[in-house]
Amino acid sequence: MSLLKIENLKVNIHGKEILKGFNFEVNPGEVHAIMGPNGTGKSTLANVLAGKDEYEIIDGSVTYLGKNLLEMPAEVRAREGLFLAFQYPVEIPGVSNANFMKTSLNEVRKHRNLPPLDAMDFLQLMKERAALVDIDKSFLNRSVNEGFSGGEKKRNEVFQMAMLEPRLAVLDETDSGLDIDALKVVSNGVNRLRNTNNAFVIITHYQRLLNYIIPDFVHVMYNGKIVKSGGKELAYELEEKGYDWIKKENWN
Amino acid sequence: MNNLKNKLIDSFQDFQNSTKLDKNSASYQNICTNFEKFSKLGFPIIKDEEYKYTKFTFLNNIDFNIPDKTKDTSLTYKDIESFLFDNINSNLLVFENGKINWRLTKIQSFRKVIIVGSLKEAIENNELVPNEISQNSHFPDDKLNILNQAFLNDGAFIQIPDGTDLYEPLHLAFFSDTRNDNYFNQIKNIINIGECCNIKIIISYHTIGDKNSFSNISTDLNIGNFSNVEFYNLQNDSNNSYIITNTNISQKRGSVLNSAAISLHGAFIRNNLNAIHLDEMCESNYNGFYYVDQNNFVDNHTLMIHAKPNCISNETYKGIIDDNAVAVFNGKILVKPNSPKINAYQKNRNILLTDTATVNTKPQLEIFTDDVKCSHGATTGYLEKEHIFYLKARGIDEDRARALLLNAFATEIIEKIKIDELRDEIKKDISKRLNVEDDFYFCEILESVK
Ligand SMILES: Nc1ncnc2c1ncn2[C@@H]1O[C@H](COP(=O)(O)OP(=O)(O)OP(=O)(O)O)[C@@H](O)[C@H]1O
Ligand SMILES: [Mg+2]
Repeated sequence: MSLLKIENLKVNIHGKEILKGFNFEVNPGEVHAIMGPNGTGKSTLANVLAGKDEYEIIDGSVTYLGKNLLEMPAEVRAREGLFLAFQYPVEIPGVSNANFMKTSLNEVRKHRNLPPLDAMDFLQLMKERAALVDIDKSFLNRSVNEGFSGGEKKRNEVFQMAMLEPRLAVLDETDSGLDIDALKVVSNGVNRLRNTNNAFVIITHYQRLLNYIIPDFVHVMYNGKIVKSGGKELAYELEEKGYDWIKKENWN
Repeated sequence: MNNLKNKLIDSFQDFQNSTKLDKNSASYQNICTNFEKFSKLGFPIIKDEEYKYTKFTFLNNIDFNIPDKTKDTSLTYKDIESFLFDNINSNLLVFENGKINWRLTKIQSFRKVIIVGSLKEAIENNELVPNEISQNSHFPDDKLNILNQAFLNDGAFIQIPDGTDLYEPLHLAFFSDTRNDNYFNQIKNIINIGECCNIKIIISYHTIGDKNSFSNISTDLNIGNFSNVEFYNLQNDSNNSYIITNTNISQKRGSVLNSAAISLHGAFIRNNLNAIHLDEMCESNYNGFYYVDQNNFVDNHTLMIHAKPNCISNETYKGIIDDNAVAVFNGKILVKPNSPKINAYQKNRNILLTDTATVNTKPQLEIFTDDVKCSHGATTGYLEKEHIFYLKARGIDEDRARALLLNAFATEIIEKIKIDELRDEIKKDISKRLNVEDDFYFCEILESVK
């Protein structure tokens, strides 16, 4: 059974059509990269998957682990193992990272019929996962993303992913704004979490990331659809030639 | 409304007939002057600019009586136990329907020079120099403060000598026993703090019984040179409690005031907080947090008068308004002529939880000097959708997400309470009401394993 299957998905925002018949399938153990010019609807896709409610679903279906994803509330999707690393993580003053993650993790565990982690076990896990993405422990006591640099926010997303161990993680431009060292750290984090059960969808503008996280498939998204799919060599081609040829091929 | 006014006028006759005060004394004269004023002015009406949003209509619906002051106090420790703070070792002054209850008052081993006692007894025994009774001349007249001064009211009388460093807070607890009747109680506190002192003061209000209480409490707090004072006004009473407070604060050179007004419950709360710097190098940090629901009403009016150069004031009031509750915030900063080098900041933030919750907020700056830095800002809104979605996307449901965010909103103010046990107790109250786990304790554990 596929992990995620999107068929003919059409999505509007404020009456404007953004996703225009999107088809996509992800199986356990796979890593997919989605590339494409600005404004083609990559984040829209990610947000629709995560359950943001300002989008209007016009047509199509999304099946996650055999269930209709579009009928699940956002929090249930997360508890079912869907994770979105946001392109622009918000700052939440006054809520500490630690308390946020503890609440989050225990909700996910409850959903899986696991008892809540006690404070000590939780802290142990948090320290371990923070080390995995090289986050300083002092960050954990700070308010969620408040005053974090762009790169620190991205790293915090990967930290949260490492804490929750999702089945399907969608990383929306998690590499943007990372310096070379951070890029390696983040990629390393992803690679350590990879296994035959889970899958990753990596939205990126840069082939560079794909040197560290080797994708099984690369897709080009343009104008609300996937217009080309291939192996990792497609990423090199895009890096070299840009998107003009894709746009020309899809002129309509 | 006239009903209570008439009862007050009658009770003034009784006072005149029975008082031990010398009719020529300044105290007596002061009371009479204010009584004349009250007879003319009565209670505030909505045409009074400062009471525009503050309706005293409850006076038409509830028949308040004035307790018989000749009766002995009767509350026992069992009656008040549940209202006292756990874990806080304080010097407790208990007042019951406007009268000191000596049995329940517990003052720890003070050096003799600190005077703590009943204001009424102090005035009757001539222990006060007359001008100490009324020091409100800096602040505009307020009808309820006038009413407060129109009688010889009991309250706390506290004189702290120079150089006193008091670790245990002074806790003034005002109880209204309404098990038999609706009562109107008045209290007047005078707290004079000498030079170079460190003092913490907690004031709290509690109604025992199902009938209604209406309390009008005035406090004069005078802070001497280079003293540090923590002043906490805690209102977490019941739906049958109507509270007015008038707090008048004066600060001398180099003194620091940290205050917080925390209003968590009560049918009607109006706090007037006035402060003035009488010398240079003073600092005032005054904060407030209100969280009201049902049909509760909470109104904070603050006035900061900068009358001397080189002073600082910082004011932050935040509120959560649920159900049909109404909140009012009116903060005025006045910088008088010839007081340059002032930093005065003020902000008010409100979160509405329903479409029927209301806030009226009005920041005011009046500046009559150049070379001052002032800012103010007020916002009213709902919780940020983006914040809620971020939490949901991590498996946290809407209710819990909202609770976490509201708890965080409150935390900024509650963290400013410098009596740790009190801060924790209030945090616990708020978390419990929001049904979230307290962030703070968790972070403590985190610290300890580092
Ligand atoms: N709330 C909104 N209101 C109106 N238009 C929107 C809204 N959100 C997104 N859009 C529009 O939808 C289109 C797709 O946006 P989206 O963020 O999905 O693009 P993207 O592919 O992620 O781009 P980028 O590479 O720049 O991140 C854009 O034209 C954008 O302006
Ligand atoms: Mg995007």
